[in-house]
Amino acid sequence: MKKWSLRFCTLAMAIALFLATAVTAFAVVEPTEQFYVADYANVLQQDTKDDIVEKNAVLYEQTGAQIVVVTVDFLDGMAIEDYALELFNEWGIGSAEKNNGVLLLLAIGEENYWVLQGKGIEPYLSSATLKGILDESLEPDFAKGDYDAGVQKTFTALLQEVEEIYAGDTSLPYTASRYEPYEPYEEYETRAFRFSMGQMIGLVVVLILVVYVITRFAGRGGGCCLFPIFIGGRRPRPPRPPFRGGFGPRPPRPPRPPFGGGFGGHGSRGGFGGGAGRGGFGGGSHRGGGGSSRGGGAGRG
Amino acid sequence: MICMILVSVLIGSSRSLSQLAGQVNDAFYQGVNGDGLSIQNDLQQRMNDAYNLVVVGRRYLQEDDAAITQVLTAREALANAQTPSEKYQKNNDLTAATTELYYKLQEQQLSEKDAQYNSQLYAELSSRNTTIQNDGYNQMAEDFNRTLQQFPANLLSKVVFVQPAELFR
Repeated sequence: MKKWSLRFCTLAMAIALFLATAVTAFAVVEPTEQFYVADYANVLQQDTKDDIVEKNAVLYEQTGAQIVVVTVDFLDGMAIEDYALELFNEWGIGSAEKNNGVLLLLAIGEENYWVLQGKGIEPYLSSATLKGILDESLEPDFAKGDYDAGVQKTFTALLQEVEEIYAGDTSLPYTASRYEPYEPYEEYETRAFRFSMGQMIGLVVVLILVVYVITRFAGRGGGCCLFPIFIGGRRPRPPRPPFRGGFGPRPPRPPRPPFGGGFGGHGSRGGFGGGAGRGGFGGGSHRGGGGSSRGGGAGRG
Repeated sequence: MICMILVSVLIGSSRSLSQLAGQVNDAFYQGVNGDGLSIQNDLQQRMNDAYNLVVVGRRYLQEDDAAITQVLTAREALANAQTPSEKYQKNNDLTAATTELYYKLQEQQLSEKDAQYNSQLYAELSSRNTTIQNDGYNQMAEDFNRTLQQFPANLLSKVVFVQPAELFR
């Protein structure tokens, strides 16, 4: 017994260790309390960080857009564009409804950077534009090692771009594409087809069985006659009791229980209202709005 | 009556199968979510950017320069490609051609503006390739093809002539 419990414990520990390493193997960094800036590489001044947070708070309130700045030392073997995409979608940058987030990622130890936009803002803030901003605002200072100055200028330029997009119309962008919006499909689910087909076959089998049992053992002879309208012609039936017009006297119905409760609440499918998403917008801490990106963006080189 | 039930089930199931096939096909052209963020639209944008890169290139290279003609040829081939598999191949050719043109232009004495264009267009071309790689179409097509191999879809597909979806690969 002791031997088995020891083996079990060893196995459990091994599994736990494996899972722990598997989960953390290629994990991106976690968002900070401030959310809008995560300076893991410790290269930004406090003033710069405060400015980013303050301006983002206003931007988010007005448009749902978020411009998040993250600095890390290394990418743990991931390509920077993949790291940026994973971080973007895990943190949920930008509004869930508008997908209008922007991420500026600096990997200091790898001398690299990347900027990525949400899929809803792509048509208005192209990767070409982002590249232009990086070349002009970030690269000169980044090459000199003055990361704080580079981030300041780049953030300002990105903020300006996003503000111009929303100038006069904070409802943009609702459609995720510059192309003609297509009629949205219902959620694609191949399993639904399989299950419904299985259910239909099952239903057919049950129907056949029911018909067989009823017609066989209910003394009505052969054939399926639950739906005589499909067969045409009627089989002779025993005479009905003389109910003609109206209904005969019925026993009184029991009183109905009081109607209350109404319907259950409807779950929210995405963001609600003007850009709030899955987190809330609290006073001191901030959260992602639930936005996502499909990748792309622009970087160094 | 049993026959009628069976026939109606078959008809209904066949219609569902055909609709699913249509959805997979449309996902390539209009996006998995029907929002226009599709492989086809990304490919179209790449063709546009490739042409713009040629416009810049013509200012510094001869019209019959190999780098320029390769881009134009690859662009036309992609425009004429019909199936996802064919588009994949031609897109790869376009990538190779535009990359060559980009690097060739970098060796030229470009004006500041044209250097920006060169850089930004190349970034846009690369970015589109990334979004294409991340597109959910292939996954959707694979799921559909897996469904087609299972009963009863494997029988029904033959009745209604539904073909497996071609992957963008």
